[in-house]
Amino acid sequence: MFAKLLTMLLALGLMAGLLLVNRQRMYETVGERIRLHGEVERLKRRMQELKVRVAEATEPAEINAMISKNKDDWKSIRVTPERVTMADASDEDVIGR
Amino acid sequence: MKPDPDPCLAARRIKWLSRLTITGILLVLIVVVGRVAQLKIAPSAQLAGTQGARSASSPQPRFRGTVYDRKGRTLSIDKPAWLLAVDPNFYFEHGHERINDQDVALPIVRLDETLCRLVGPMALMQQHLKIERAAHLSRRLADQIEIESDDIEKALIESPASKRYLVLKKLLEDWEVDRVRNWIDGRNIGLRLDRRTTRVNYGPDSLAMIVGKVRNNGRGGSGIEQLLDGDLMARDGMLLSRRTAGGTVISVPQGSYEEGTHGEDFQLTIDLHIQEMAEARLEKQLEEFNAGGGRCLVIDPRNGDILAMVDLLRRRPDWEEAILDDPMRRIEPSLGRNRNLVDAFEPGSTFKPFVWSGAVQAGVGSTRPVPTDARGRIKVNLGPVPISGRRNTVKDAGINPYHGPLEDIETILVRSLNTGMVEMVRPLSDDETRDILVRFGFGTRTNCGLGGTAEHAGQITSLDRWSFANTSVSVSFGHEVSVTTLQMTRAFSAFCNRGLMPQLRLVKPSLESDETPLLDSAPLLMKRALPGAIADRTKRALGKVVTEGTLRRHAKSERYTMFGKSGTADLPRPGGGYFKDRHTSNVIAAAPYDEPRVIVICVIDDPDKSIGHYGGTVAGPVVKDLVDGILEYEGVSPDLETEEASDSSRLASGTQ
Repeated sequence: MFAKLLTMLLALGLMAGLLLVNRQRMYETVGERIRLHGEVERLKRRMQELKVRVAEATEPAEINAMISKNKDDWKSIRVTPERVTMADASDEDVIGR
Repeated sequence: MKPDPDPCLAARRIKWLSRLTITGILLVLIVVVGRVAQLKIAPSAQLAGTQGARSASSPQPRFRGTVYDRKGRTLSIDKPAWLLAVDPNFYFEHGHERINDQDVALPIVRLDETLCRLVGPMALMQQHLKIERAAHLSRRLADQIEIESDDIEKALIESPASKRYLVLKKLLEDWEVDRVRNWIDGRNIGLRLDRRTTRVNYGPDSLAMIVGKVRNNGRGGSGIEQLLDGDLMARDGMLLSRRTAGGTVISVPQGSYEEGTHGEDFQLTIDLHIQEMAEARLEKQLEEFNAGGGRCLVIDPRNGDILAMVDLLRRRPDWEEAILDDPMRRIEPSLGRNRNLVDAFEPGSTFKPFVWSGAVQAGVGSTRPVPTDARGRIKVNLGPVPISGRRNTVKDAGINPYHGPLEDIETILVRSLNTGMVEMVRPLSDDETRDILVRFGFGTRTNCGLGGTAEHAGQITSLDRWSFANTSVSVSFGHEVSVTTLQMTRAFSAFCNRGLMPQLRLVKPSLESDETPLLDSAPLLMKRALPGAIADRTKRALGKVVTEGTLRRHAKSERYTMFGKSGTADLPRPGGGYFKDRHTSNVIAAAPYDEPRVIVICVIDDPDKSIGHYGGTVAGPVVKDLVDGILEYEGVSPDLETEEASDSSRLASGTQ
């Protein structure tokens, strides 16, 4: 009788303990998810900050200042002009959509 | 040998032990259940305030879409930032002491407090204390960050007692945020740093008129920001969570997280560099000719992309201005009235190519001959032409002295002859002449993507009021008609594209379209204004305008072949009629000749006639410099041999 009772009590205690552990883990998981979510949000914000810094650094005035500071002789890349063929290819009055 | 214990005694012992254990467990359970019940039903006062899960909402801020230029440079972006605010009430009551505790105390303040109780009227003394404390905070803040201490002091003093939130600085730099945090060092003195987003714009003032402005409520207030507000706007998210009193998140209930969405990014066809180049060059020309204003528009004729759109106004002291002022642009450039969109002008001779080409298409000069002399030369340019029913005779401009009959009708354009244009429209009916204007899109909005219904459609006379003497004749040399720079460039692109005009656009089409894949460099729509052969013939004549005609002296590039036309019109009087000695000077041109990559129009309003007033002289140099600058920037090889270019090509090929 005593052994049965002890076994039952131990089983109940174990189950309760496991439930508590499980609950704690659930809280920790939720907490971790929220932390990671916050981290993602922080990184998104950081990315936006970096976009702003790129925008500031690539302003024509900034680039011109950099070129004049380095005294480099910058020239644009020569490109072959693309031929407008639409007008040649069609006699339609309206082309496009 | 020990005797065996009594089996009955052992059984009794076990029985009692079991009962004791069960009783003990029951007692423990009763105590636990009782405690739980007590905590749930009647917790102590200390626990009551912290018991139970709490709901907390965390806003998830999202960013408004970014606006880029044609080459991906940022024009307008949301910048994450910090705002510095103070709770004035708290600061004056408690916060100031916490500054003094940490730093050097203000003995004067304490002495004043004593004096205040003893002598002076309380209100006066309290005001004195407020001034002392406001000055103290503003001085200490000015030591830490870039802030106007006088302004802060004034704002603090003037803040009403009920005010709990006073913005001290709207936008802090990163280093300022660090300095403030270090200085506060966890003390609650009433100062707070709040996250905020601010809209930052890049580019010159003339670009602000296009991109526009975002209002304080986050909605677009003008320009592209207003036009595309629905797509640019972000939708903030929200996270609702259940937390313990200590702040630990317990759960996020189903459906309580809303992610929110960032605004959609857009790319304009405007090129930041070309816009800056055009603004700087136009501004210089306005100064040089002491002009009242100027407009400049640059488009890519291949696809209708608007590359730059500049509008400048210049107020001149001691000058009776005839150009409508725009005071809003002086307050805030983005609220300015972009005259390229909303104001029309009388083009003068710049309009001739459109009427000329339309007349040629209608058979003038071929199936419908113009008057010729015995040698087959066209009988124009012989002197002022009287027109029956017209108030005045038609004369050629002073720069075109009367030489006599012409060999071909192209010379009418090359020498910009008003008398010649009369003969070009004389064989046409009113309907035919008016139809030429309609086919080139005059009198209808370009719907370029900005302005909406505010875009000016220009003005052409209705058919029932149209007459040959006063309308066809005037229109043939660009009078009695008003146009916008947008309409002019759209129509002129027909000469670049063998008769086809592209739909102008300011916003690049999205590449993520579900429909047929669309190249962002391809035109959206091309509409025919002329047959290709007629367009080419007009283009050849306009090429001669640059090499032999009115653009030869001031607008001819030495590096790129061009074709174009200049015009000079009388400036309209604000109350009606025209000034006789004040003008609108304009030039439109495209380059390079074979494969036009750019159309530039420059309109200069009311230049000082004592310096110059003809279109070619005043606006020509702007167009020439912009053509040179833009094509060089676009990497288009010069198609005119210059000494410098020859040297470069020789060096590139390794020959001497």
